[in-house]
Amino acid sequence: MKVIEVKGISKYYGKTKALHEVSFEIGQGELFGLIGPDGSGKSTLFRILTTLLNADTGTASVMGYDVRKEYKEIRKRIGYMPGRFSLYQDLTVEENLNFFATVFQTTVKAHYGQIKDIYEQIAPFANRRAGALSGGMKQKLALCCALVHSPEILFLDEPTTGVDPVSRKEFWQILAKLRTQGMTIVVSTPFMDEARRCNRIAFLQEGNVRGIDTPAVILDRFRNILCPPGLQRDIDNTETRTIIRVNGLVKQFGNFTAVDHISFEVKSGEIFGFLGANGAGKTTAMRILCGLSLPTGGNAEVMGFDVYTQSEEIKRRIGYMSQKFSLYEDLNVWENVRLFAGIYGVPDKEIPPRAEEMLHRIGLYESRHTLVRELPLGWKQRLAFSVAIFHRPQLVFLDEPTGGVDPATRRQFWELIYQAAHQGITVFVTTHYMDEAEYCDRISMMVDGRIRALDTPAKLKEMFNAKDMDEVFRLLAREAKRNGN
Amino acid sequence: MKQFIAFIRKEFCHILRDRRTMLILIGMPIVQIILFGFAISTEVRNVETAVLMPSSDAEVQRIVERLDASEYFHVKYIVHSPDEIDRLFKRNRIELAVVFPSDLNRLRMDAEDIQLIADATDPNLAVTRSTYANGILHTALNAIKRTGTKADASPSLIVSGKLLYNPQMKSAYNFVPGVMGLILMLICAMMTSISIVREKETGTMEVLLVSPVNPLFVILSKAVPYFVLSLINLTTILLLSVFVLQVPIAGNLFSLLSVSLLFIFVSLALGLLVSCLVRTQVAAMLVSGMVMLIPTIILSGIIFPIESMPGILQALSCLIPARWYVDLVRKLMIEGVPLAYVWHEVTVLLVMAIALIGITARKFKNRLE
Repeated sequence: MKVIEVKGISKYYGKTKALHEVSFEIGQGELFGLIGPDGSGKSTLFRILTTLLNADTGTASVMGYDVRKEYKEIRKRIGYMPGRFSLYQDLTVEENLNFFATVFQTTVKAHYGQIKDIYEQIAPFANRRAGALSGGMKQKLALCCALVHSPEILFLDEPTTGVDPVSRKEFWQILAKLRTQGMTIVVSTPFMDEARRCNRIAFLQEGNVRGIDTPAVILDRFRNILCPPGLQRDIDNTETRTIIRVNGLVKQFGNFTAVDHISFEVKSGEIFGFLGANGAGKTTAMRILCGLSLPTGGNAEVMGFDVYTQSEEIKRRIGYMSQKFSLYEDLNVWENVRLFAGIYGVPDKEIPPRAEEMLHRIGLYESRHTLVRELPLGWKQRLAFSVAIFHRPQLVFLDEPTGGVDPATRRQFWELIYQAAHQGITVFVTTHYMDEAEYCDRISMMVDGRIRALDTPAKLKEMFNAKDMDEVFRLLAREAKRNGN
Repeated sequence: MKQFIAFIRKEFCHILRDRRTMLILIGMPIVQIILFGFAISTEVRNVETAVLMPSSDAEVQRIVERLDASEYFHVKYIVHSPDEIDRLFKRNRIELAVVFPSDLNRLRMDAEDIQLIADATDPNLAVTRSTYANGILHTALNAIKRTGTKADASPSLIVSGKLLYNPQMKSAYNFVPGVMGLILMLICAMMTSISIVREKETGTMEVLLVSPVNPLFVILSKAVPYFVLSLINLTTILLLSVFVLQVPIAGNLFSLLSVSLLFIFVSLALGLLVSCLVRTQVAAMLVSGMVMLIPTIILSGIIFPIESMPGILQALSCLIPARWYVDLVRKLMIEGVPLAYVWHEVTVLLVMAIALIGITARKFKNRLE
């Protein structure tokens, strides 16, 4: 039985094409995955199916009801989790749940069986405000809220983006269980390991459905994009100069010890991966090293400068890029390069030739007059990275630089990182993608504010007797007591 | 109904937990009333004055004393040459100068020979000051004439004025209605629109739209807490103005409250309309700030009298709900006229309320975009 039928749906935002002639069907009880890079039209498709948007052409029906005319019927029967954590940050966990239950004309008790398993995991925080929960917890709460009225179909728009691997795994166990109860689930994901768990997946690119089939078939047919081959790094790095030296570093926020006596060293020219679950203390430690925050105790030196007293010296000599800190969207590519080069004190005369060379190298020269907001996310990330190292720092910090893009785009990004490393720039990077962890020279794993393991990926896998970094991560993160917060 | 209550409870949680905003919302009327009531004042008081006396004379002396004795003027300098007056003005020492003629005989005839020089950087203030000074000088001269120290005392015309409704000329009488209009507009229109648009921004609106709840319902429930809040503010303002600023409610309290409720409805409808039209909190803030608050301040007669505006601005001011409300409050609260005399203003506000709610209902979409 088909519960969702989509026929020739197209959607334009002004001149921008979001979806083009999309057609597919989803059967009762199916776990259907939507994969594709950012901007490929996944969210638009979700919004059309959940009756939030009207398509320009084509028809779609959900449980036999037309999305355009019979939207009221559909709205009674579906659960929806939008891309962002759509919770009230200033309400507690319990208040959020009760509120959404009332909205759907039911009570938490009435369908408690449905959410019991998930809710028990967040119950200890029932009186905490949703805004103070970790990513993994928020995601579980949002799922509870979407399930509270026992919907027949569940729509989940990238529910695991920004969530650590352990929480992701738990989340997918919940989905598997819901499916055995007969619920139809439509889910989008940027993670290929999650895509593999679906019955069928549709691969979207630039608004077109490139293929719909079982995960194995799709991942094989588009393996160049979805499962690119690994990168080769020829380490000619014989340097042993230490660029970051951290000894017994502590950072406390009130009673909470975010960073708990960590010690490590990073050698010049190294690609150093800094991994950990949400809330393990990665970002806090990284902020201290960038000179943005003062530690509570211990020592840290970056390029020979003390983080307590010489943070200005440090800031001048490093590059920094984060998912949140990006470029000015309303300036064009060239203006952004020009601006940040100026901020970091690159001499005026040197900017144009260097900028031209850099834009040619990353393939953005032709688009130099394009506004940054019109670039695809993967291009923005490459540009942001190149801008961050434009002033030729010895050391660059990357905070989850590749969120939201497909594996091929991420691999291209890592090629840039390798080029930078080849020129002798030390790279300090945090990531949630375990395939990226394999690209690092050395990795540190943080659990509950401490470094639990630190070595090359190969040695770590050997040590934990694991087949890949994902498994290493899960073995270590299982010890976490903080529960992501 | 249960859903509606749940929504309202949630809204109150949002407001009560955002301590800083709540403090501003509750505290703002108090601060504004006190500021306008005490600090900002257009009343004439202790004007620094210089007097130019070419020669000393007992009668001139008496007039000057009279001027100094009033609470309005403080005679600081007595000078003997026009240059000194000029210097005092340049050094910003005085705000008004009184120049007596050198021929004192002419002075005895009438006051026209006395010259007043005022600092007109603030024209309104300058006019008020010279009017006051004029009044005092006239009285003083007349007194001199009547006592008949000089034989040729001729009868002169004495005009006495009476200031209705605000005999002490307190500026609070003017500001209280203005502040009421401003605060109610701010709370109802601005805060309501921001709180609805916030849900659009955080994505919770998406979830609410994909639910069986009628979206119009969602939006209406957003207006309720701000309605309550504006009632609290209305009460604070009235209590403060009666007991602190001593501005009495001359008219009927019930009719004053009724027109206030009507104005609150208009403002809420305006806030809801803005929230339907914009997508981001910043846009909501800008629209409410630039398009609603500033015209409210400038065109509603709170600061600048509407009667003296150019025709276009006068016509424009008719579109500002606060203009009608401020007018109503002045009439009902200060003048104390019965409700029947203000049906014109009330009708305008009623039409505005109906029109705004109508447009909002039309503009409202139960989908995104």
